[in-house]
Amino acid sequence: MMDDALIIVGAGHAGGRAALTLREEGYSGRLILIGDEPHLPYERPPLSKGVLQGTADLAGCSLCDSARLAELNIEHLSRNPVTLLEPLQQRLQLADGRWLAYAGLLLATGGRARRLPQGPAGVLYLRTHDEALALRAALRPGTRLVIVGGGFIGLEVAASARSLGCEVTVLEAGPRLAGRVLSPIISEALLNLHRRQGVEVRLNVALASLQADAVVLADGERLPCDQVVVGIGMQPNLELAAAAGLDVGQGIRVDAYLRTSAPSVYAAGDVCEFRRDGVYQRQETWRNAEAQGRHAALNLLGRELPFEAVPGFWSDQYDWCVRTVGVITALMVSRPLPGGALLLFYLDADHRLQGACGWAPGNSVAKDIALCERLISAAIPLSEASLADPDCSLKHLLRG
Amino acid sequence: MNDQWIDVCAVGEIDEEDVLRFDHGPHTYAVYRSAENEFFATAGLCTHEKIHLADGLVMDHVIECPKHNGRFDYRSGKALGAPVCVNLKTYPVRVEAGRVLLAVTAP
Repeated sequence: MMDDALIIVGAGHAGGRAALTLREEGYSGRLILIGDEPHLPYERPPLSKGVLQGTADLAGCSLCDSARLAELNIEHLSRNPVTLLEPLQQRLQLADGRWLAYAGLLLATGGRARRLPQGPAGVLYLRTHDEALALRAALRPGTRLVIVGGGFIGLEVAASARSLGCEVTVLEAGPRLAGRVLSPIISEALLNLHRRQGVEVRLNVALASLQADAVVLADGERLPCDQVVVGIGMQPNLELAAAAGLDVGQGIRVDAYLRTSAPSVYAAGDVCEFRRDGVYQRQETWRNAEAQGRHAALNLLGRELPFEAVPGFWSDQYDWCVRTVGVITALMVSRPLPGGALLLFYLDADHRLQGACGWAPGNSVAKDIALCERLISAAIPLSEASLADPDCSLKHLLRG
Repeated sequence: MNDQWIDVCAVGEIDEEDVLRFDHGPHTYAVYRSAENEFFATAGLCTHEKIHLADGLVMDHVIECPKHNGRFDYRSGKALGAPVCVNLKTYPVRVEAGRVLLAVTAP
């Protein structure tokens, strides 16, 4: 049916960006954006920083305001989630029983904070804006906060909590911080930074139990605390897709065009499991939500563009930032920068750049990472000596 | 004329095809030198999330926000696509006796 709507399930960053892109690209038909949260689409990075610290609010994180949404004639449904998807009939059902038919559907259902199996009431998580507000209310000067998980969410919460005057302990099960996505030298730099800032960081820690006023470790040690927050990753919201018979793995599986296994159904953002270099993966990043949301919108409009964006992320902690682009490889070249800052390059066997990671105050390494993104795309062989030399301009390398 | 010309820096303090942050009173600006050796100025903060643009990369006539990679043509201030959709304000710049001068409109 030509007059059927385009529907986006999930009104987070990816879904919101897709809706805005559809209008920017001239789609004038019915457009419905369905979300669980009672908010306009917003970007999540400020939640663990500005929102926790009270320097940013929801309006500042939102992709657009409600006036803009109305002006663009985007129907935003909240508090009425999708309960059933029938891909062969190209329709879905809302919690209130209503059916909506679609000509094209985007699943941008994101995820929720992974829960510890036996946490008591009062343990907090951070994924949504409202969860950030609940955590903020618990963080006061002198609050003894235990953070379970030494990944980016845990570490950013630690930094924010320190700035609010809390006493902070971070418990990490692995041997280093953010070990899944960072080289050991950056994990070490993060560890030193947090310890300098007065955070007690414990690695290789196994939990025995969480209690209302303490965390008990496997070796019997009891850590008294006023608040526990858990940051141990994200659980993708793929139940709707799985129940509808779509191909799912660790996320909703898509092909190179972000098409799921069902006709006219696409996926984007944190929930989307796509193949890069032959390997299925999800990217739980701002950058991926932005890029895939936009990309899926273009393909919903029939552009048939393969998704080939270079991945990347950043994390702000205190006055420092770790910022990456591309992927980590076994061949790493390190460039020291002033003041303990660092730029790491990751090369393939032909010495073409595959990834880079910067560690520096503020946004001071952003120019170099932006140049690395272009060097990755340029795929030109680079000498290790040039890359290691702080005086060798990356812009010069790019332009030969 | 109610433009007020302010001394920013010596010409040589901004590299070719680069940008410098310039704070004046409560305001912050980004001052650019193009590869053609022309000077331009815009508001200093990205219109998306108020990030200082001067930490960003300048390539050709485009400044890229260091945080979210939003891009602007710094000559016109034009936003070049998501995530930025609001243009940057631009300011007149001139060079006099080796100094870069910026015109800010008096309140």
